[in-house]
Amino acid sequence: MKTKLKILTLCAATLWSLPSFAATYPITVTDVAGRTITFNQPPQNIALSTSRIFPLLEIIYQQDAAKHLVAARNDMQVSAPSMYANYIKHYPSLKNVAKIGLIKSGEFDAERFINLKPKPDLFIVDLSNIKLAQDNGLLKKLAAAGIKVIAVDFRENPIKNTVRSVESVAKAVGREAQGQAFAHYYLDHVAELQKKLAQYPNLKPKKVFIERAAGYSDSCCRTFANGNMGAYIPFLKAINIADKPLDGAVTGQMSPETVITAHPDVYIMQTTGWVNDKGQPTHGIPLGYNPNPAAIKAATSALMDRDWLQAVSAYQTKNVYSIYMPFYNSPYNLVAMEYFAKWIHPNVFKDLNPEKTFEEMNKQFGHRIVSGDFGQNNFKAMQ
Amino acid sequence: MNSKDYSDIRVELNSNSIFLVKKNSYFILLAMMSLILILTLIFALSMGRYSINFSTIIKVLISKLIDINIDWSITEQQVIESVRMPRILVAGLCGASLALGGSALQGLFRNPLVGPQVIGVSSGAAFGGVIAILLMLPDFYIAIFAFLFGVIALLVAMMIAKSGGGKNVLSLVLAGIVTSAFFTSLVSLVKYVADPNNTLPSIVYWLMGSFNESRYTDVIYILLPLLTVGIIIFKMRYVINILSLGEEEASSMGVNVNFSRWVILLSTAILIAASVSVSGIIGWVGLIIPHFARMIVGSNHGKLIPISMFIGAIYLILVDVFARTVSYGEIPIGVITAIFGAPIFAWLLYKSQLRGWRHD
Repeated sequence: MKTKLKILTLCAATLWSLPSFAATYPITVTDVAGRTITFNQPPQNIALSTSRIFPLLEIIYQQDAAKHLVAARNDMQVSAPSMYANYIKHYPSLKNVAKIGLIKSGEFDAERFINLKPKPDLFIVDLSNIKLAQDNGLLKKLAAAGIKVIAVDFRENPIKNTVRSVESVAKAVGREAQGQAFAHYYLDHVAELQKKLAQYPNLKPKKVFIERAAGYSDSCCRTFANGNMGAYIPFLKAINIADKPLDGAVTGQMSPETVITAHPDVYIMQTTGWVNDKGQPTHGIPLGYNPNPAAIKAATSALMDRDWLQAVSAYQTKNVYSIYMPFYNSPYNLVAMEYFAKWIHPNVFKDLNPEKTFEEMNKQFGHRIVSGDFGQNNFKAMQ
Repeated sequence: MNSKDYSDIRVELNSNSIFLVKKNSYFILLAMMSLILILTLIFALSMGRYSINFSTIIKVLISKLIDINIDWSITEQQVIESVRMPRILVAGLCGASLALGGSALQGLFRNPLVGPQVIGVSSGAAFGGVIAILLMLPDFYIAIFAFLFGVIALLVAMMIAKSGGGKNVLSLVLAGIVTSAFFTSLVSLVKYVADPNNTLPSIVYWLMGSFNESRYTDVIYILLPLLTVGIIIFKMRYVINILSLGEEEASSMGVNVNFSRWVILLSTAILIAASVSVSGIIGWVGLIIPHFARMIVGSNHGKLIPISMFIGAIYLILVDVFARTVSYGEIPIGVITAIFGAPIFAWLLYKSQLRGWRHD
């Protein structure tokens, strides 16, 4: 595996350094929504419908990522504050990026967007917003203004669409080699997980529950069935207890008593340290970059103190975990998948190191040395 | 106020009930209501997606009073004590609060179509709650904001009514409608600017009402206002009786109409705001339960208030049982009370022919 990685890295470095591999335009790209987009020249000014997918630009442009970003929604600031702090430190120019509204809520101002200086020539939109943008005529408006739109998806069907998303954007901007290097790395790791699971054909399927946005509000329990991080569960040969109750829906609500009744073996809180507009922490467990152990311990204790949770079988067997929520909308979702694998099948994946994977991905694709706490056993965190 | 002075009024008010409730039979009725409430509570404890034997529930309850052999699992005990019991208590107390508020308001306004939403308190409390959610304040502040804005909404309605020079009930109702519309539009504005991925679902779910996350602390939050306001309103039961005959009659009988009206309004506002703060918006309870009680005991608020509270508590506990057992998720309480409330209200109107309001 290590030798393979070294060869891949060497190949990628060679590809990046060769000008003969520069893409020839026009280029036609098919995005994850099945739309075909033709580019006559490489886009330079990029806008993101969600700033939490900034790692995508880093994978493609490395240290030049911030130079290409001209507009984004400010969701990273509120929903992934440690990520924002980390990126701001490394790319101070991100502070000056124009803020745009959310398409889904009607806050997106197309006229203002078209007239931004510098004007975006590529708008990367998450799949959950693309259909809406098509239905409300936004795509037509942007096309008329000469702004290309590519759909990406790291959250609705992460296993199927992550690699396709990175590759399509990389190809569109004329940096196909970077997209392919990421694809190789990602697919190799996914294949490794599958290979390991195949070695244990008689593995008893564990029952898993994901609590969506744990700590964000008082009401429990919002969850995922077949999409988002819920997609990792069947992939890891486990049973998502939300599948039957949600009956085909990607996300929905289950009552605490329904969760108790399902007897989950593993309980995973998808959480982060949310902050308000002033940057003050409000809800959730502040996992992420530059972690504060005391704050994590206090927030974990508060969530674990919910009376009903103690009646959940996973609590009684000390199998309650927390995962860094922004992974659900990031090309680094592989890290979350590895955490899930380790928690669901600790004996099978005892040598798996998600922290190392995260550091490795950042170093290899973003040319940055970063670390943090992105997953935890809640009982250990409270000690 | 001496109850002897108004015995003739009480006779008239009692005669409007379907069942003529005499003094002795009223105490029997109270005892029956208490028994039904206890049985409802035990029934509610036994209902849920997690299957627990009825005998286990009784044993767990008895174990709190006397030492008995534990032959149940820790999960069963936690489901009974930590999951079901707090929400049942909160549901019962909210039901009692809303019914008490509704019966007091209907008496005050001399109108059976009046509910907590008419004076704008519900909308104000809703706005307070959603602002706290939008600002991502800790959960405790949702209750505080809901409570404060509920009371603020009433004060705004009072100011509008006064500035219009109106001292009668109609001007207050109109002021309440204006206030309610204003705060409802503010709630819509908050929903518009909220992040649809996390904040908006939280706001929408909270607004629809739920006892999902009820805790024993919520029991205290609702019990304290209920006891305080309950005593005040019960002390004023005869004043409400007189006010329900009309303002002129009340004035001629020596009642300080303005002062009494504001005391009752402020008391009910506190009750409704407290209820909204722990459960979100739950409609129809304050409207239909007093009707139901009026059919049983008539319009004498001395009898109507306690019976309304009992029926309100029983009703909301049963609605909550339905909410948490009918599906894997949880149907918001406000949705169910509206679905049940509208046809029940229509039936009550048909049955009573607005009986109990004939003196208007």
